[in-house]
Amino acid sequence: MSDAPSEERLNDYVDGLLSEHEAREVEAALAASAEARATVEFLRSLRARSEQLPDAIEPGRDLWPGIAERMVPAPLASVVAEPTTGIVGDEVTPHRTWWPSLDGFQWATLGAAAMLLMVASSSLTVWVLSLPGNESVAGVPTVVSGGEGIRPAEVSYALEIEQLMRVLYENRDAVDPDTVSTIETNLRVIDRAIDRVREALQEDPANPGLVRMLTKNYQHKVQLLQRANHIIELS
Amino acid sequence: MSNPPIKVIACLLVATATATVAFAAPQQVRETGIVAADVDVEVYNVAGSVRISGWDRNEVRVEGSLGEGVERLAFENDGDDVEIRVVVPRRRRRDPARQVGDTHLEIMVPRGASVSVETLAATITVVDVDGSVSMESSAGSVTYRGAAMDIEAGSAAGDIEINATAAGASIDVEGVAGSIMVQFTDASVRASSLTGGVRVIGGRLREGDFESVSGSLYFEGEIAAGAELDFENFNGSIELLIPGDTAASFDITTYSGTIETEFGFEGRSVEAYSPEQEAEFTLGDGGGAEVSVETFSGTVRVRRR
Repeated sequence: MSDAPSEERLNDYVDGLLSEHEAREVEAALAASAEARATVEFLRSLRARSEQLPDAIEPGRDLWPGIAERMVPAPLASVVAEPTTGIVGDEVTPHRTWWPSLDGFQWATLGAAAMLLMVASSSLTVWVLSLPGNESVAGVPTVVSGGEGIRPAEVSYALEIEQLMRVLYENRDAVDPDTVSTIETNLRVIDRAIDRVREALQEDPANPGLVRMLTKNYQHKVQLLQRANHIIELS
Repeated sequence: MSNPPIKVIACLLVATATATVAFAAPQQVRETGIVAADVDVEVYNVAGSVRISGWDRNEVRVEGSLGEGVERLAFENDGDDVEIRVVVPRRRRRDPARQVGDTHLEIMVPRGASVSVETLAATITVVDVDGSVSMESSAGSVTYRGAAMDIEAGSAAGDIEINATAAGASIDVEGVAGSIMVQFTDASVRASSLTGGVRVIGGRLREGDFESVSGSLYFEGEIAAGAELDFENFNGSIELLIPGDTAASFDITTYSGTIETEFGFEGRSVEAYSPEQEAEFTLGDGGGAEVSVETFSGTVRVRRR
């Protein structure tokens, strides 16, 4: 096998989903590609970290919404989000402030914390979806991954979203506050939809329609962030 | 010291007022150029408006006024490609839509031209341009009316309104928070929004793909033989108003909403204790057309026109 394997292929390799023959092909390719080896190493470390995550962490009381409201940049707040209450018509309210006035170190710290949260969140989902009872979900084809499981797709989306949001934070001053507000409100709508579908998947993990809907909402989120970044380019 | 003569003071005041008015008045612009009948025209504006109209001359003409703070209007023409760009000084490029005044551009292009327009807060209107049309605004509304075969439109916060008259037109519309209205004669339509509602009214629909997260989806029109139509949202309503003699197969699913039809088919539970409902049915001989409707908690209605 001369070509480097795709990231999805490497995901399957790390997840142990390949046949012996396919795994040998990937290993042969790994021997010839430092980049592929690095990808495998990253995926393994991600998997190892996700396996160490608990089912849930229950704080004494829910402090995060208040903290997030005060500290996290607006669009990011939609990712780390409030507890799910569902979306009903105009229930979604715009954020009170746009971008908090923070210095570079604070932005960097928050950005790092946010990325960790996103990766942790995705990793947790990966882990939950990979529980023994959930193989059927993992095996359901998704719109974007062309027959691959939801796990690599979700990790892939988390990484893409992280990159897009980083660009958005770094260039937030270039965007009209009203447009930022629109983007933020819509991110929150999508995040709540994702939460609701995830809840439904816990009740009905084998439902391919729900998996497709989850994927679709991730697509909406990526497209919205791409659009926001395009606006930055236009500015 | 004696007082200055009244006439001198009056003259000074008039001169000052005249100079102030001249300084504050918007800068008028006018550019023209001879072009090919199928010229490609690209337009960029920040705030204000862009209106492009097709005419029966092989000529592009721009008229308008520049907003305060705008550096100039760039107009480049090589006969096949025209670029019209509102240039903003570099120091104003942080959130330029808030830092410059409104620039209004009226542009005439050959009817067969292809146009591509991008704006931040400026509204976009394109009429009677029959080449391909691409319109994208961050916060402004977008409107098209004409016989173009390929129409693309997008806006994050503004409303989008398309009226496409060409048979076989391909319409691709993407909104975020604004409403979308598409009227067509005979077309394939893809329309998506996140929180804005989508209304599509025809005409004969050859292919259709309609998506939203919390916005409602509404389609009214005929379903062409062999068409594939997909409707999907999270929690807005989905409503189809179709002729009584429609031939198509329907596959409708809602996870916690309801399904209602005026064709004698209702939603049924997928399994006991589950709120999920589905309805699968065929109208007429099916006509080779397939309609898929999926919502998480929205209500689905299929009504007879």
